[in-house]
Amino acid sequence: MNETDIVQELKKSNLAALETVWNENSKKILNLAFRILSDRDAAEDALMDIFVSIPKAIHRFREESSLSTWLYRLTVNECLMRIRKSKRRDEIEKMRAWEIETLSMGNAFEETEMFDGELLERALSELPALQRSMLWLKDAEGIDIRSLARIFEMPEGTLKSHLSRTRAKLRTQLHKEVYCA
Amino acid sequence: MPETFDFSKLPQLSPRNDSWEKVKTRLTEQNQRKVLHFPKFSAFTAMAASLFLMSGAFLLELHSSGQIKPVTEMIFDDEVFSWYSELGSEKVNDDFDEFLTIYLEE
Repeated sequence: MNETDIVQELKKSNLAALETVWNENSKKILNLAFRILSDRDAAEDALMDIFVSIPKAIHRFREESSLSTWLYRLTVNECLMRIRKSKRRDEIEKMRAWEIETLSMGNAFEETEMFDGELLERALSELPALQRSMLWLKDAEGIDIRSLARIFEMPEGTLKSHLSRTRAKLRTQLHKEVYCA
Repeated sequence: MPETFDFSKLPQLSPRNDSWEKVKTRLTEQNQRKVLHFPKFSAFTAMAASLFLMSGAFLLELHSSGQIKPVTEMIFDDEVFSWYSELGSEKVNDDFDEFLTIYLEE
């Protein structure tokens, strides 16, 4: 079954088609949700909520992007809604502080070391949710800029700028982790 | 300076074994709720139809008992009707006869 067929079957509320989508995408969605929410249980709940909402939401899918891009977009929206609901104001505060910091510092740091997984995990968790998810999708999932622009609903130029600042911030954070360790 | 970060060292999560079953259960429950809504809707429709028929029957009953007059009766019930009924009456015809008599005499 190709993607168009799957979408048509999803629109008919075909459970077998949904299972195919689950088998192909659930792991990626879970990992993206985990990167945004930083909580395994919350990510798992988000994953299930997303799949329960698909039979209804699929009717809004205009097939202008791939199904996986659309699913990533659903995931980002679902996770951001959860963050808003849980009133995690510190995320917003963190993002503001980060923007001020990176704007004043620029891309001064250069990446020379190879960082281990644990260090990277810690540094990544310090980033705001949205930036974390952007970087994850770009560098871990290999999503192209055009698709990312669709997922985050922003112009490609703005997205590139966000990615660049996010990388700078992650480098800064990694250096902090190395020197403070 | 590398343009991308190597996230391959980070742990990759997999959905729990029962997650898909939970999704299926929730979807089945949703569908059942939809099915349950249908009898409720049909009951509402039946009740609305009954009320409509009952009100129709009530109005017919009022009409037949004379409490509601037809529109034509309401219009021609007074002076207008009496004036209208005089049109083409005997008196008019008399005048017409007199006119004809005068005309013929000339």
